[in-house]
Amino acid sequence: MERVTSAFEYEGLQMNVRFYGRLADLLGEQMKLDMADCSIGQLRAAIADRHPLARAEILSQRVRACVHDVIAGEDHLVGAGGTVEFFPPVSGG
Amino acid sequence: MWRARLCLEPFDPAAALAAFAKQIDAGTGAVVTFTGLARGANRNGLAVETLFLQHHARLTQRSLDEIAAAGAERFNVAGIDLIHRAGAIAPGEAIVWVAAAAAHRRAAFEAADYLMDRLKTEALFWKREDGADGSTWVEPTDDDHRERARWS
Repeated sequence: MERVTSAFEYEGLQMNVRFYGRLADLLGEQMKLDMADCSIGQLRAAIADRHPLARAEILSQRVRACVHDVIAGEDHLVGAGGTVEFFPPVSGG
Repeated sequence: MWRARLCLEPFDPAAALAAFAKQIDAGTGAVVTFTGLARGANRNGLAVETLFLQHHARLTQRSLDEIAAAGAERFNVAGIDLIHRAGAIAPGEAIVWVAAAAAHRRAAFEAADYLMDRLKTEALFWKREDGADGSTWVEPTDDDHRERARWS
């Protein structure tokens, strides 16, 4: 777990969230949320509360979270003003 | 030697093979290639007008690099090359092309097979089929995951 910035420092900043694939259809490609520091799990819950139609998708553990280009677990803390990307299952070929 | 390229425009698999063949060394006795084409119909038989592959600005190329490097590491091959399309793809166009060169055929076949199984399940793309009946996002099938698991 890493925590680089305090909530106080970034008070008023917004969390930047990006969605891909079917999630982008449901939620748009980008979203800004007024949130203090939170874990990935808390961020998922906040998005689910605000967007009930996307609840099952955003809470699905098949959807992975990514911070700074690295897959992040549910307990990973994100500072306000940070960016989180959500990836539905991928498929190439 | 391995290479992986993300390609945003149509590409010519024959030209890719010709370029690859020029780079292989004298000890190579086998080159296996696979070309994946966009189908004009989906799993339910409905017409697909466009296949759209969304990619990530940085991580898609990284995933292709990782898969190509793993193939080169795992098999006794002299070279691996792969090209993967992103964006809007018309039926009949190549989506993916993989090539493996080796001293003997078995390693080349296996490497190409391995690369495709990993690309189907792990390459960082989101695939959508667009047709007259609407759009559908496509995820790996159970078969795709079973094929991938053979290499675990």
